[in-house]
Amino acid sequence: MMAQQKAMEVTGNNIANVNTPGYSRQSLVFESNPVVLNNGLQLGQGVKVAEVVQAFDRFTTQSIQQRTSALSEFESKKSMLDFLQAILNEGDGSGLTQSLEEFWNAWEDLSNNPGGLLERSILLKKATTLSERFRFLYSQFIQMKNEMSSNLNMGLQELNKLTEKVASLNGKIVAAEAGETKANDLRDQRNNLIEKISQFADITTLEMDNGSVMVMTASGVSLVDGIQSFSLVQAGEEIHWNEIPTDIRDRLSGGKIGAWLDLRDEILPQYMGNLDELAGTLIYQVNQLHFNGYTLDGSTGKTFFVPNSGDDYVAGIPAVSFSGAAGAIALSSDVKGNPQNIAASSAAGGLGNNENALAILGLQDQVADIRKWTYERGSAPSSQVQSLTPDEYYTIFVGDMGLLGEEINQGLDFEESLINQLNEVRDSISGVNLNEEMVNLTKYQHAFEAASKLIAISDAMMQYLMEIR
Amino acid sequence: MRISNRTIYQNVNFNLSNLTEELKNIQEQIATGKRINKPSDDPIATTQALRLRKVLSQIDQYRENIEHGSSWLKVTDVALGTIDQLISQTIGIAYQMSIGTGTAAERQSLAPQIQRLLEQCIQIGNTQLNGRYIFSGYQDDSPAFTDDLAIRPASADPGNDPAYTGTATSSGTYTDLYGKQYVVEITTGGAVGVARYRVSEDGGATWGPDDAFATSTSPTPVYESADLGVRIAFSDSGTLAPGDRFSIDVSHYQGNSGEIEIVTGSSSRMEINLTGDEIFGEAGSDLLDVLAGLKNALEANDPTGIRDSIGPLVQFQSGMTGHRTEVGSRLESIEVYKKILSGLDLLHTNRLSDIEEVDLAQAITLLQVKQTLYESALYSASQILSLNLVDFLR
Repeated sequence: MMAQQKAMEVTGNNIANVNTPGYSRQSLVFESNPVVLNNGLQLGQGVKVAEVVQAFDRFTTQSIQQRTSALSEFESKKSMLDFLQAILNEGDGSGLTQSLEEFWNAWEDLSNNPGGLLERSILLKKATTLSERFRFLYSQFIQMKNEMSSNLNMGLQELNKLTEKVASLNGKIVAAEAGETKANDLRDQRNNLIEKISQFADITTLEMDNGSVMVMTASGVSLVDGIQSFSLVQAGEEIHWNEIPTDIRDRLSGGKIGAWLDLRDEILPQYMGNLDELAGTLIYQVNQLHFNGYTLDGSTGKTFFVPNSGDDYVAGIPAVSFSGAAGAIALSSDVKGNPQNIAASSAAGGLGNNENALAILGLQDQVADIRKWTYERGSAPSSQVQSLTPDEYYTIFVGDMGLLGEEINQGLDFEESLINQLNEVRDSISGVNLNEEMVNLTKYQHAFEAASKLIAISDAMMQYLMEIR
Repeated sequence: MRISNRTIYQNVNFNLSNLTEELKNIQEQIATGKRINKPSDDPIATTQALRLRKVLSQIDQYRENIEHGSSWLKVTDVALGTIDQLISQTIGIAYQMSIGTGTAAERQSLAPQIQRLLEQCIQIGNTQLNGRYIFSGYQDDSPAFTDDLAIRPASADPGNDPAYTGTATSSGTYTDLYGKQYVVEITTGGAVGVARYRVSEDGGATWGPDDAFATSTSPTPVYESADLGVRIAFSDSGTLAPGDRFSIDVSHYQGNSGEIEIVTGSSSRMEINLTGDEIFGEAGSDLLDVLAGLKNALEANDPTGIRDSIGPLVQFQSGMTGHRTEVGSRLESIEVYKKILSGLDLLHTNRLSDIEEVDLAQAITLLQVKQTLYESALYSASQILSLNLVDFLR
């Protein structure tokens, strides 16, 4: 009867935990008591509770941990990529592409009336808008980079807390399991924590004989070993393990931390570098022609855009670094507020000379050598020279971002359905089914009732005996 | 397979949220009318759309440029037509007056009419479009022609690249009746002051004696037969070499020979202007000089002089016809461009809408299908979630 009551307690526990994440269904293993020899007869001694076991599939659980880190990596990347694309605002054609087109068209309008102050003022306005557009994108990229750094800070703090908890649970489990019993609930808690850790990074786990679990990143950086946990701390842009000042960024991957590192150290710098190239090339090319052209009052040697000033343009690609150009592009003091200083002419004198304006507007169809940057963690950024028109370069820039976004969306869809299926598999083993538990409950209730009945019958028999006079 | 309660809840959640997302996407497409709302929706189509938009914007600009060129050429055509008429009128008068029967009084009485025609020619030569003198070359901010003959800035003679690095400046007040083309040629090289030059009064056809004049930093006269007020000065910043040539035009035309072009395509341009010396001829023998000569001949009662002006006038008239044909053919090719560009515009607009616009009928049908799916999912979920053995165990 006691055994059946215990069973009902376990079932009750299962029902209570039907919604607890990571809870594994428990059940009792009954065992017959050893037989007793009595007058040469083997007599059963009833039942005892051997142990409480967890319905737990280690392989599925580990797969879920791995997929969880991939899933949260994609989730973090997706939200940033969606944001980036919203900033570019190319979907409805009002982004940088349009500013560029309007800039070139303003030059064409000027070429139709090179002496016109109105056309000149409009060109300056369009060039200002273009510069602002560049600077806006650049500042958003920088802001996002900073955001990634603070995300990393908080993420690492949380990760450290989690590893600490796992380490302390390790201690409790080892202590609790020193005897025969299994610390089922503590194990569930620990699994749950490990799944949370895998949201932050790709990890592998290894269970020791004594029941403690070792947690390492996929590339072998130990996070928990026995009852000891090792902290990860961000110092500048580097990440240090256990306060040893060596950068271990290239040994972290997957999960939110992997995603943030990828975004901050690879994806964003790459976009910023390429935006710099575009802005720098534009500044360089326009300035080069503009510097040699003549203004309304016949002077020459004027720059159109900064930061390249004076005759900086002389040193061109690939000697000059355009780093930071997109963040600094603006009208030069030569032309800012001085529309008459736009050099539309190829020679002094003659307002109708539009040769230089024609040359500058021709840049939009002219193929130039523009670098395309690739950033990879752990190695120096590399560039590759491409021959493209500025507009086409930017089109490819947007297309690349779209491709990455598409890849991430597809990856995310895949991981989501995969993890859903894995969860189904795990829950089919470990999950609680209320109907099943109700059936079990009924089963144990009947057994309990039967056992009680036995007592009643023995009681009746005893009474009957007692009543024999 | 064992199905736990959590599996059921999660599945319901997962499927419902998937459906919600699909509904949201379709709704977004319908609301914006666009199939692509961010690059990752379809990266290839996004880049195609970006390129097409660029092309469309260029086409718009080319059409604007061509419109500008078209009005410029039309104004030019009208001006040339009027000049053509004026020349015909002049030729008529010249024919009549070249016959010996005309009297001195008759000829003299017609001289003011020729003067008026000359003034009209100048007026037409100074035709403006949006404040720009269309026959002035690049100097379109100042009138192409003046009533009086004026000395134009000294320049390197066409086809001659002087070794001299300084500048030659012309000045003076011209006193003759006809335009002239002076050419100054260095015959002895050296610094300014040492170098000496000779002069041609007819654009380099005949020359005065070598080393006739010394170069100077202050204006020195440029004359061979008579001092007509033309001066030349050299800046003291270079060495003159024998053969260096500088020309000084004295003419009614004050513009330059700048060719104004418009952009008609990514690599095609069209010249839209005619300059004053193209329509009226080179300095020294231009239409206005011929008219002035005719006027003087009439005043002087000189039938031979009058007859001499007929030949050049007829030549100018046929030249004018040539210019009008050219302007006409440019206008014609502009019309062709216009048609091509509207065709391209339509083509690319259609392609762009194919790429990025939503087929509304299709999208709305899809929305309805998804809506039905969503409702059935909700219904089945409500059915499944309420099933529980607990309800039946009493």
